[in-house]
Amino acid sequence: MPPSIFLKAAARTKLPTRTSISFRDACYFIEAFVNGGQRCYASHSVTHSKTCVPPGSNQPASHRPYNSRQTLLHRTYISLLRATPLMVVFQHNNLRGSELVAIRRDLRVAMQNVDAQVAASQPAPIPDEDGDIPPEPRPVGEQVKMVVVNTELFSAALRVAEYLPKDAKVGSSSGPEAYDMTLQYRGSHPMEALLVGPVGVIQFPTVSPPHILAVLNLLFPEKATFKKGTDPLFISGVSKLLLLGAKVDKVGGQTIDTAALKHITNLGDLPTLRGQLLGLMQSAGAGLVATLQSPSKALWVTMEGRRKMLDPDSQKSAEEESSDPPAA
Amino acid sequence: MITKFLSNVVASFNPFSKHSKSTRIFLSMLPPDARTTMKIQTKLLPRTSEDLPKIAVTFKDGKVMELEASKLSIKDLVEELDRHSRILRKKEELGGN
Repeated sequence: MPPSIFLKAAARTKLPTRTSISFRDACYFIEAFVNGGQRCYASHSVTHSKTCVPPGSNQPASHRPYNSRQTLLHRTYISLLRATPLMVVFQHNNLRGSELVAIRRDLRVAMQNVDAQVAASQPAPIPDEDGDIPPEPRPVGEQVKMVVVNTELFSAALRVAEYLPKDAKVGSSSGPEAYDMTLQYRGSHPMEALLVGPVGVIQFPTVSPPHILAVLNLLFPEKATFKKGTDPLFISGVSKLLLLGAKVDKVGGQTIDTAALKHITNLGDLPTLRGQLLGLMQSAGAGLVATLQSPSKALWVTMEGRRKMLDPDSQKSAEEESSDPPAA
Repeated sequence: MITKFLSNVVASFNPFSKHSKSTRIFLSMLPPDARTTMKIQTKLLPRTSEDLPKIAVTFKDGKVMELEASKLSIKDLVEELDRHSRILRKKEELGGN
């Protein structure tokens, strides 16, 4: 676009005296000039347009402008809430960038160590019929991530993830209809009380007690004792972290406090728990069968005893074989 | 917020309570190097606890201020603390010259 057009546009839209102008502002002025509109600057603040879709694309509608950071984060948070079975919520008080980097690095190293321990404790993979070893699943520790969240957007995403009916006909979870339908639930989820101030979450791909225990011991130790040679930045960073609570079981799950979270770390891993549950159910079934059987069995024993009492032949034989118990 | 004259901060709150908002924001307002210049103790109450959040601040001159954080917004809280900090700052400026 030749500069003369821009200057004309600026003159016509009463451009305030400014030394420099950004490209984005320039585009708005030019757009206003071309459209012949008088309103130009500050029109790009926040628009709650009901039809926020990119031109010529099939991207779903969003409540905020489609290319804004808010839309991106809202979509990220919704997918995080729907896919994460356990997230630990913490507060970080004025962490420096370098401290956050040190914490993330030490967390990654600790997770790798736990992964190695878990892999060592598990039996070696059995080759299938073709002699191929099945591919190993991705280690849990690799997927443990620490994310600092925007609390307002996170609670908005939480509302949509938790309270939007499953059969609701909305174009997209970040769309205006989903926003309007869930607005009434503002402040009703117990997790929203945690989302105040500087907050981050640690997301776990599965509920794996050894990994949770390692994270709690590393980042939220009850007594701060560090190994020799620990990064001082890590130590100063960890002292600023506060464990607040956790959310379990994806959508519809509970928000738990720190005591409950510590209880989870004492549980065994999932196969062990499944085995325990199976044993419990089997013993309960056997007990039920025995209970149902006992009245009929008692009746049979009584009747049989009476029959033997009345029958003289069997009485005789019973006297003869008094030492042998009657065959059931 | 003037944090130069604080020597000890003790805070207790229940993170699941709506009253603990100002306490948590207060903790996040302490500067990044606060832990080297003052002692900070934070106590998390269990979820079922009905206790209200409390903040106890000790200043360098020994004055202890206990604040009921549930009744104060963060602005009021900062105002309360700064009132005494300003007195100390003034004393320091006069004594230094």
